[in-house]
Amino acid sequence: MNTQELITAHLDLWTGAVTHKSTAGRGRNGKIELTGIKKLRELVLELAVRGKLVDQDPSEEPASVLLERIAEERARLVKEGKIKKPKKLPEIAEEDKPFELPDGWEWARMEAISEYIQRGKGPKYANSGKVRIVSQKCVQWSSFDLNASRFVDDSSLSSYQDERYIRNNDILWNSTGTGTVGRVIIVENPRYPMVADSHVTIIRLLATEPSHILNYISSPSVQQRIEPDHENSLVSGTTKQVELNSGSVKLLAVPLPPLEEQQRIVEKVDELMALCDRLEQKAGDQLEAHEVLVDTLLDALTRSADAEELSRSWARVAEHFDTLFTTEASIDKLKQTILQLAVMGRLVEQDPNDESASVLLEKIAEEKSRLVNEGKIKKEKKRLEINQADAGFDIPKNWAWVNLGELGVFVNGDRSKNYPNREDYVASGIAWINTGHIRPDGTLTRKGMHFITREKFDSLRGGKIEPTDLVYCLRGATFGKTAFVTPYEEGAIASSLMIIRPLLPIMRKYIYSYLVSPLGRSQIFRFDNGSAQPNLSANSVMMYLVPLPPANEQRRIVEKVDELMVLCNELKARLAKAGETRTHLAEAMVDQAVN
Amino acid sequence: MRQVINKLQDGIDFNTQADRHQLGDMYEQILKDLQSAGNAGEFYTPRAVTEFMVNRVDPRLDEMVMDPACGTGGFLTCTIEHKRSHYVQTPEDEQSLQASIRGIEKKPLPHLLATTNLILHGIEVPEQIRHDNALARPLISWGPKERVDVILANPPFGGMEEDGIETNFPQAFRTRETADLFMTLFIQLLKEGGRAGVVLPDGFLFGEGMKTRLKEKLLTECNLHTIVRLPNGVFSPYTGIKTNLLFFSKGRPTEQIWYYEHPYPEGYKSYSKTKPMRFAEFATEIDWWGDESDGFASRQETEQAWKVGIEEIKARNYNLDIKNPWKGEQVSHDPEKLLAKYAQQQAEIQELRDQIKQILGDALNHATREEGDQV
Repeated sequence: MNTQELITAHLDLWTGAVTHKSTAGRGRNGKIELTGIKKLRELVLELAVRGKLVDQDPSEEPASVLLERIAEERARLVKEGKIKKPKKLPEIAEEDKPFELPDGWEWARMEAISEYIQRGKGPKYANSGKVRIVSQKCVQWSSFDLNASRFVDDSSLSSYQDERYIRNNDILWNSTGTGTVGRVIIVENPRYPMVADSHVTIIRLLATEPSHILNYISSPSVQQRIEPDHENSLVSGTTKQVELNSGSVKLLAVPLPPLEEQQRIVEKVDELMALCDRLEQKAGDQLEAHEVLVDTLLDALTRSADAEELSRSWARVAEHFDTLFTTEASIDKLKQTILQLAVMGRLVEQDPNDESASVLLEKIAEEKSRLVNEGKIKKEKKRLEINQADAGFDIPKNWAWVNLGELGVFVNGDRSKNYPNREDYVASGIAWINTGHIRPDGTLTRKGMHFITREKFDSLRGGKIEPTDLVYCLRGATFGKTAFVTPYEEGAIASSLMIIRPLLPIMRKYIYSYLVSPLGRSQIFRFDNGSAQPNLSANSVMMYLVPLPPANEQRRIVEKVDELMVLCNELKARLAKAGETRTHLAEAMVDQAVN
Repeated sequence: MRQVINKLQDGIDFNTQADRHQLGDMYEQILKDLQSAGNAGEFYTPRAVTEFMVNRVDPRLDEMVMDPACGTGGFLTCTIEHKRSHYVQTPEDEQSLQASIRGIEKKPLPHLLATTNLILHGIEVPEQIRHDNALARPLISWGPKERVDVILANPPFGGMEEDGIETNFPQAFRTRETADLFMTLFIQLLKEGGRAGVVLPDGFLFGEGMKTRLKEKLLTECNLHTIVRLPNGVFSPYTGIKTNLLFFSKGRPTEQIWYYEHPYPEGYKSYSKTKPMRFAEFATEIDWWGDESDGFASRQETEQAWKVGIEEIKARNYNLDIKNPWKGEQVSHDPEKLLAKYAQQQAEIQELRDQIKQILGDALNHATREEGDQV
């Protein structure tokens, strides 16, 4: 298949490529960049400036003639004293010509087709005045924003020559600083008098369609050169503080078509960009709709009142399974739903031969008394009765509602004067565990663990882990985060954490699943005081409502959850990889088309 | 059956070796075409794979060979050919051969096809292919007399057995997934010192829960000495997933596993109907293989082969999905290659989704049947 066929045959596939950003950006999609559409726009621009977007018309006045006319015009302006006599420009060497031009086109240096190219000057600022200052902030991709602009101090206005005032059809090009430099805009019919500050370059063209030059500057082949490391770099300075000096701008070779063709190209580009805008809008809509669909169908599962409803809700999910679970976010929601169904007793069959949960509770209570008798734990006050209505669903007959405090012993860390601080950390020793060490898979990290000496550890009088413990975060933005203490058998917890020690260690996997399930997480909000930085006490956590299955059923639940989680995680990983491939495909498509 | 076929095909004398052989080949082709047509596809393992596995397991003349999920009988007919070309020299040998093949197939159509297949390969009376569900008997009822020397099989992937079947198995290995139940059966059915070659998907390698216990059993009771990892498309068009060939011998625990990543042949981006996998591709594996008698001492690590010790496997909780450590992730710039890669990835994703859907649906449907006992 040739390039053109490749591009069009798989248009949906590669323009649909999506990349996940690690930080949320602006715009509706926040963390998601529609890379495919971005690539499509790049393709349009690259084809436009290479003369591949519209046909050449041999009857139109060729660019060589246009250039002569422009040169005449410039000479006239020099004579009239309106512009300075320009220096003789060097010929454009073959190797400086980035690509082949079609018939009727010519390469020209920016200065040759302009009457004015200059960076603004550093102004005397005022909060009000007659003339506005255009800064780099005003120059955004596709929009010109004067809201942020300040004013020139009126007293200094006399130092501004006429040509410094921004005119209709001027091109403004940001010229300083990584992330800002390279942005370019055309100003149309400025409503106020305005000048540029020293970081913005003004380009005033002669007899040239400004949008054509704008497109060229915006195209990847030019934008890529706004990197100090690029072999054909347009900028100087370090990566952090790049500068596009006006000399580079003047010398920049631009591809010049016949004037009429310029206009035709610009029209076509506008048309295609508008289509891209619509595609983007649609894609955004689709992503939103997809999210809503996933949420609705999965919620229906956990809110089903009885077996029949669950069956129907599941049937709907199954029917649309392949459309629903196409993103990592949807898999995360599926995982949460699985956990919720698990702790509701809906995931696994009840076995009437299982010893019921109440028998299990008795065993737990026995274990507790034993520990109290051995002096290992304190006897607790009597607890409040449980109000089942709080939970909002029914549990199976042989289950029981309990408070988390009945299932485990809660151990706080030592917060005395012996509390280790940074200076006490050593390269190896006993683990000093903090919230940041909790991994998403429910274990503790090896990399980045802090250690304290055995002496320091011995001096602590609390918060020491046993191998079958869980840790739970009580403070800060990460409250509710929890993990097994695997792979550590010895260690102590920092103040933001609490140890949950299951009275029957065999129950720890179920308790973990409960804590990370939506039900477990929602318990936090029964107690949190609503402040920005929630704060839980061990006593609050003890009151968490826990649905308790029979011992055997717990085992079956945990097994089924593990089985499904492994598959979900694998699916997530593969979706991510496929997404990457799609992005690579988009890049490869554009590369091939352009070269 | 034979008389019927004789009547139908005038001109083909079933009693001559040559004619029968030729018809056998044609029959194989028919079965293969059936696979591409999507009918009975799941009962046909590609010829290159069965040949390779039989070649490596090397069943001797009087070793009892069984395929408890024999489908259309591919492994068994390969075994017959293997024994004939290597070990049969006399008419008595041929008799031993005939007595040493066993198969079980649950579904009627493939059972019929398997029976016919065996007739065409010279088995006089193929009553040793039973129409039965090998999983429908209690595991412990398979006594020592029924154990076999060699098992070669490709259990169906992603299938679920009916209710009740799993109660034939010990609690620890209960599941409704067909392939897993078969694995437990295979381990039981092998004699001490018996050898097996089994085709299994990636899901078995990385799956957890009951699968973890099953893998632990496998690695404790048997020496899983080799896993050959096949690329996508071997079983196309039936399924795009990646499959693995597991070779193990019963009687000693595993100390290390050798992995071999089978590459596509030069110039292939995948397999297809017109460019299927061929036995000749396995020449490198065969050269590299070595001998079980000395513990495969001659094996070397190469760009395709690496070994993993049992301690590491235990530390990974028996996750056997270990990738080739030599291969970095190379990003292609060729749109065609990327398109192919994306298609493969999508196929794998689809398989995973299907699996999750099945397991979850199964669980929910079961769980809700006992409703009515809510509090």
